[in-house]
Amino acid sequence: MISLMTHQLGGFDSSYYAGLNLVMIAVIVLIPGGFIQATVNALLVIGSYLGLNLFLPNPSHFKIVINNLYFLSSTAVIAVAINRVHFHLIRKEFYTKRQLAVAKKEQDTIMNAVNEGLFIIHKVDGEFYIGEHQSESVKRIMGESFESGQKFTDVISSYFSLEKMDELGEYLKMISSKNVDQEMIRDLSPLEREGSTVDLDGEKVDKFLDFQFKRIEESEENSDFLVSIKDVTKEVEMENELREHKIKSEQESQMMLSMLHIGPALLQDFIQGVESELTTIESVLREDKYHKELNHAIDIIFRSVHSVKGNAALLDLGFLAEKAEEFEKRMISLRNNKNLTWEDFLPIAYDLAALQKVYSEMKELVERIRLFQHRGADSTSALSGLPEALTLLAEKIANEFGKKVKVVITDIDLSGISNKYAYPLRDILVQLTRNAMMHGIENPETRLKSNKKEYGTISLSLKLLDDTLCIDFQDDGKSFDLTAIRAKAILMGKGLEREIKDWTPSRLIKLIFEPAFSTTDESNSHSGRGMGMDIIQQRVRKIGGHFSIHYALGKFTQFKFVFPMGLFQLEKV
Amino acid sequence: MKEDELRIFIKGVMNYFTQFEGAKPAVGIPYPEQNNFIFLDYSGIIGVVGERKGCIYVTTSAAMLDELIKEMGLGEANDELRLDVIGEFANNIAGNAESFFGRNFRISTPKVITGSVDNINLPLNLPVFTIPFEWKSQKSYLVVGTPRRNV
Amino acid sequence: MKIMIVDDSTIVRMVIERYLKLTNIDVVAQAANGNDAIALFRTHLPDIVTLDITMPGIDGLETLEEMMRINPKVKVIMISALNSKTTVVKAINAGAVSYLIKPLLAHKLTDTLRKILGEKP
Repeated sequence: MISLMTHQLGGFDSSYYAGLNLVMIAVIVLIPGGFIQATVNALLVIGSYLGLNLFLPNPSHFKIVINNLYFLSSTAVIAVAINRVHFHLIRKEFYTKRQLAVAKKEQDTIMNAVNEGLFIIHKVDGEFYIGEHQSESVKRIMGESFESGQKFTDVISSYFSLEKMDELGEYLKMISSKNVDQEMIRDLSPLEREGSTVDLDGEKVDKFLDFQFKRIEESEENSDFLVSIKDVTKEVEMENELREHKIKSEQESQMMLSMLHIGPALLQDFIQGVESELTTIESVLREDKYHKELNHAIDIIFRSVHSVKGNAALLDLGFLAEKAEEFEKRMISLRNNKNLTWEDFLPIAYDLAALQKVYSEMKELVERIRLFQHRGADSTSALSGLPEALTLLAEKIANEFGKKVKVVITDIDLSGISNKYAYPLRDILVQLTRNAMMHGIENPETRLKSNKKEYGTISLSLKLLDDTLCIDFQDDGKSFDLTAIRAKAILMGKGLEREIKDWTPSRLIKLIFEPAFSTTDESNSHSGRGMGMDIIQQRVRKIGGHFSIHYALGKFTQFKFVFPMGLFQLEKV
Repeated sequence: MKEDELRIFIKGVMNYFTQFEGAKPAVGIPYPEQNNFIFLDYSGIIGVVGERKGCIYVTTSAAMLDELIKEMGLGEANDELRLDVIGEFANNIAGNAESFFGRNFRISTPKVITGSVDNINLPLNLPVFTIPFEWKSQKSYLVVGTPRRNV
Repeated sequence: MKIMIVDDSTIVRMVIERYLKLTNIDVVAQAANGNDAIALFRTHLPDIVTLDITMPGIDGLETLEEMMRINPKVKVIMISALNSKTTVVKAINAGAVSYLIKPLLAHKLTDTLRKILGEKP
């Protein structure tokens, strides 16, 4: 068509043939098609030019036609060549684009699958900024994706303390320096197993995070780093558990060792005793009826704690005695408080919880011990191990205070007394023994001076006569220190000084049975702080008995208890 | 130091009722609870993480919530409203504690339930304390189990 | 190659000295505290210094800074006990080239020395 046009436009020596050339180039180069197509196009054009000239000859211009043909051909060749290169380039471009797409998809898959939070930080003008891409795990671990372009330290600062951020700042400065190698970068990371709280869908979760920084080699000025965030919460928590477990088992072993020397019956009996006291305390806190008279409640709690402490000390169970002692101290200060409110009871709840914890641990251990200890032991009566325990206690206190004692126990046959009554009895006897050792029996020197034997004697007998249980407890110590009692009475304002001076011994002695009265200032695991008498009285009353005291100042003290058996439940074993 | 926790929660409870005219709540004596945690008709539970870890919940009867709803002038009481109120109550107490303990005491959004829940699923960390309180003759309980972590 | 050993523990200094016998680096001075270290540093101008982080008197970090002022080209290796990561980072930012953690192992010392000496000037 274009050839025709050229022809029509009058001549092949005209510049219109240049137009033909241009058109041909345009057609061939711009229309994308294979090499073959281009060649065919070119041939078509040349062919049509030739053809037209042949069929519509203009004889005088034959030479010009040849010339034109020559130029046309060369143009064609060049155009085809260009086309070919171009086409290849285009195809290659498409191919590369597709490859890139595939690669990106793979990269995304990796980024989504990897467990660590990965992203790159770039250093610009001395500050690190978050890069374009990050793995899905960043969001999964931290609860949010980090916005690219933000300052790294800004993003991180909400997760760690100011101190940590300072350390991080120093660290970031360091890793940018040339003479720091990857090993140092790895070893000196300040965010190793750091505790932090992240926000996951509105829930605050505590985690332990590990941040690792890796220098990217290609960057010339050490300005690009790969950051990897790892969630190491599980590992850290497991380690802590193991450590706590280790500590706990060490403590348990110690507990066990200290309990092994106690006979199974006694241990069992002791456990039950403690449990009963703890239940008492708990019920005082819980039940409304005790809330009316808070001072009364305090008294009850105090007595129970004191009992636990005493028995724990008796059995040399230091860990329990200690906790009980702490508890007791608090109760004493509360006793003096006239205006009690619920606030005052708060620490009691905590103390009780602590005691309960120790108790339950102990109970567990006791169960385990029982499996190994001799079952043949007489476990029928709660009082069966009592003689040994009392002797042990007396000798222990004697040892501690440089005194000497002999314990004589006769007529013990208490099988048949139910445990419910056995505990108060045991409490009474323990208390008497302790008092006798602490306040009664003097040290050997003093005794010798008073023409007594070096060692003091405690004698105890329990006799079942018909319907009555008679308990006789005697010590040959110095008995009551009336002077001290008198002084204490004056100190406590029990009456006017000159009146108290005239009080009879029996009136003075009665004072000892009042709560909060004590003639000594000692307070340790053994000393009753004068509370012993109060407990004795209360316990005796509880099981429906009564007692009398016989004494000779400086010589001996004797307690006689009488318990009518009608109130005891005889359980034939 | 340890009693701070309980005290703050108790104050939180008392605080909540100051929005109402009239009767103040009477807080009973707290006691430790080892198992068999008490659940009344409705409970609002809040999880705690940070230096102290565990959870706290307030549990109450439908009657108590109805009283609250009446006081707040929210109209006719129904199940949904009661759940909202107990949730708000729990949130209030926990929020009060959070503002006292600071960053290291992070609370979650409250979960509200009716009836009791399988104890195992509740992250109550021993020691747990039950704080009874009474308002308008209705008895309710605040149960706190968020001891300091040993980490 | 001249090296100076700075550590308040005599035993540590002896150990380092023994390890160094395996190399061809000369121990030209030893110091037990920062002040002595600086004085000896001025006199002997060692090429390398092993410097303990926790010392009585002026601490390792200050000593390091002073040494860097006197001769910025010195290669200082900080010696630290386990928990001083933050100080090590500060030291490196102040110019130390490497660090070692106690207890010191011979091969770790020689590896570090090799590394810092193998650097292209």
